[in-house]
Amino acid sequence: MKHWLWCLPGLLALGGGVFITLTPVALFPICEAEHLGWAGDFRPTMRCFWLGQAAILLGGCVAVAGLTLLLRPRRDTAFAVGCILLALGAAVILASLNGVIGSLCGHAHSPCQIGTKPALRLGGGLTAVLGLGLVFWSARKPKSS
Amino acid sequence: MNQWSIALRQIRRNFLRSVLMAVGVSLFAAVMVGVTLLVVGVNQSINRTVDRLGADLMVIPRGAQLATQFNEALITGKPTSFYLPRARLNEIESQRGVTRVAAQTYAQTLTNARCCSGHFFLVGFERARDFTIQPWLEEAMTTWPPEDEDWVIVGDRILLHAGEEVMFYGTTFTVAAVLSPTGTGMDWTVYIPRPSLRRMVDRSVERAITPLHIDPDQISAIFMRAGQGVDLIDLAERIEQAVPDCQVILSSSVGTRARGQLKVVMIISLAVVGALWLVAGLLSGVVFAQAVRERRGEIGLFLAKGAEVCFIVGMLVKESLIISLAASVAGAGMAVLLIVSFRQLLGVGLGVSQVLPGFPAMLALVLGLCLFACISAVLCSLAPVLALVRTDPFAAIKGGRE
Repeated sequence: MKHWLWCLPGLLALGGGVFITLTPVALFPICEAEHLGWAGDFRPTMRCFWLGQAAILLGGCVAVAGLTLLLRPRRDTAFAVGCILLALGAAVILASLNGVIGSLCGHAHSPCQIGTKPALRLGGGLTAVLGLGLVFWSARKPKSS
Repeated sequence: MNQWSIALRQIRRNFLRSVLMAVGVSLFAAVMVGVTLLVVGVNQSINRTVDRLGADLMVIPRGAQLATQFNEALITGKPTSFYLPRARLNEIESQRGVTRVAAQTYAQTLTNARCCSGHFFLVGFERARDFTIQPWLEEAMTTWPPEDEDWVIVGDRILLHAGEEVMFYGTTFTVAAVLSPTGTGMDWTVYIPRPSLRRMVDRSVERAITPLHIDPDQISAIFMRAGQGVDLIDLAERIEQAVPDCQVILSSSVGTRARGQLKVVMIISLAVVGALWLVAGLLSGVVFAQAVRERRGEIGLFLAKGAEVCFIVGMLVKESLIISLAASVAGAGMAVLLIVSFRQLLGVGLGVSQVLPGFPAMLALVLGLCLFACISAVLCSLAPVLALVRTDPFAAIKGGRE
C-alpha cells in the first residue's frame, strides 16, 4: 500500500472525531450544551452533561489519532492508530450506555435520548470499524516489490 | 481465467473509476431505500393507529386546530389539552346506535420543574367505562389497585416499570402496569384513573410550580363504539346536531388526516429519489462507456481470436454487476443503519410513533430495492457494451491503439 493511502483513514478518523465532539455541542445538543467545556464553575443538574463532556474528550482523542496518521502515514503508525481507534470507538459506545456511567435521563422523548445517543453510538461504531480495518490492513504482510 | 476473475481484475486495475461508479449507485440506493422505508413505515404506523383505536367515533370540542392536535396525540402521544362539559357524555350515550362510551381527560406535565418528571401526555380515564386501554395491559390485571391510592398505567416507551414511582404536579404515583407495545401514541402516554387525576389537580395548587386547572365537570374526549350495521356517518351527523359545540371524528379519518399532513414531504422525497435514479443511471453509463472505450483494443483482440459476443458481454456485465451489487448493498446498509439509529428522532419529526415497517417487510423491501438498483446500473452500462461488440474486430483493435 502506498504511504499516502494511509492518509485516507487518517482523514476519516479526523472527521469522525470532529463529528463525535460536535454531536453533544451542536449537532444534537444536550440540555446543558451551552455549558459544555473544561473551564468555568458550572454545576450540572442533569446527567447528560457528563456524557457531553466525555464525548468531547473522546472525540478529541479520535481526531488527534486521525491527525497523527495524516502526519505520519506509515504502516506501523496505522497499526497503532487502529488499535487506539478501536478502543476509543468502544469507549464512545460504552459512554452512551446508561448501564455503564448512567449518562442519560429516563425521559424517552428528550433530545439526548433520540438524537445524541444514537449519533454517538453510530460515530463510536464507525470509529471502531475504521480501527479494526486499519489493524487488519496494517497487519497484513506487504507484497515484495 | 473465467469471466468473474477478468471482471475482478479490471475493477482492481481501474480502482478509482470503479469507486466513482460505486459512489453514484450507493448514493442512489441509500436515498431510495431510506425514503421507501420511511414512506412504507409511516403508512403502516398510521394504519396501525387507526386499527387499534378501539373506538368507531370520537367526540372533541369544535375547532380545526383541536382536531389536528387530537390527531397528533393519538398517533404520536404528543401532549395536548382541551375540554368539554361532562354532560355531553350522557347526551351522546343516549343516541340511538351508540353501544359504549368512554371519557378521557387530557393534561400535560410541566417541563424542567422539580414537581414533575419530564414532558408527558397525561390521560385521565374511567376504569369502569374504559375499553381503549385495558386490551393493551401487558399482564392481565386480576386485581386493580384501590381507587383511593395514586397509581398510573404507562405506555411501553415511557421507560418506567411496574412498582416504580413517578411524580406529576407534586403528586407521587405508583406504576401499576405497563401497556403492551401498540405502535401508536399510547406507547408515549401516561394513563391516570379519574379519581387520582382529581386528587392531583386539587393538590397541584399547593405542591406544583404551576397549578393544573381542570374543573370536576370537564372531560376532553369521548370515545364511542357503535352497534353492528350502524351507519357511522349518519350517527356522526346526528351527534353533531344534538351537541353543536362538539365535532365527531371517525376513526378512519384519523389516518386520512395524518397522511394529508405528510403528503407534501413524501412527494418531494419521491421526486428526489427519481432525480437521483436518473443521475446515478447517467453516471454509471458514462463511467462504464469510458471504461469500455479504453478497452476497445483488448475486446477487438478477443473478437478476432474468435471469442463469442456473449462472452464479451458477459465479462463486461459481470464487472458492472460486481460494482453495482457491492455499492447498492453498502448504500442500503448505510440507509438502514441511519434510519434504525434515528428512528425515534424521525418519528418525532414526521409526527408518527414508528417510522420503520415490520422486519419481514423491511427485509423484502431492502432486498427488492437493492436488486432494482443493481439492474438499473447494469442496464445503463449495457448500452456502450452492445455498441462496441457490434463493431468490426479490426476497427476495434485499431481504435484501441489511437
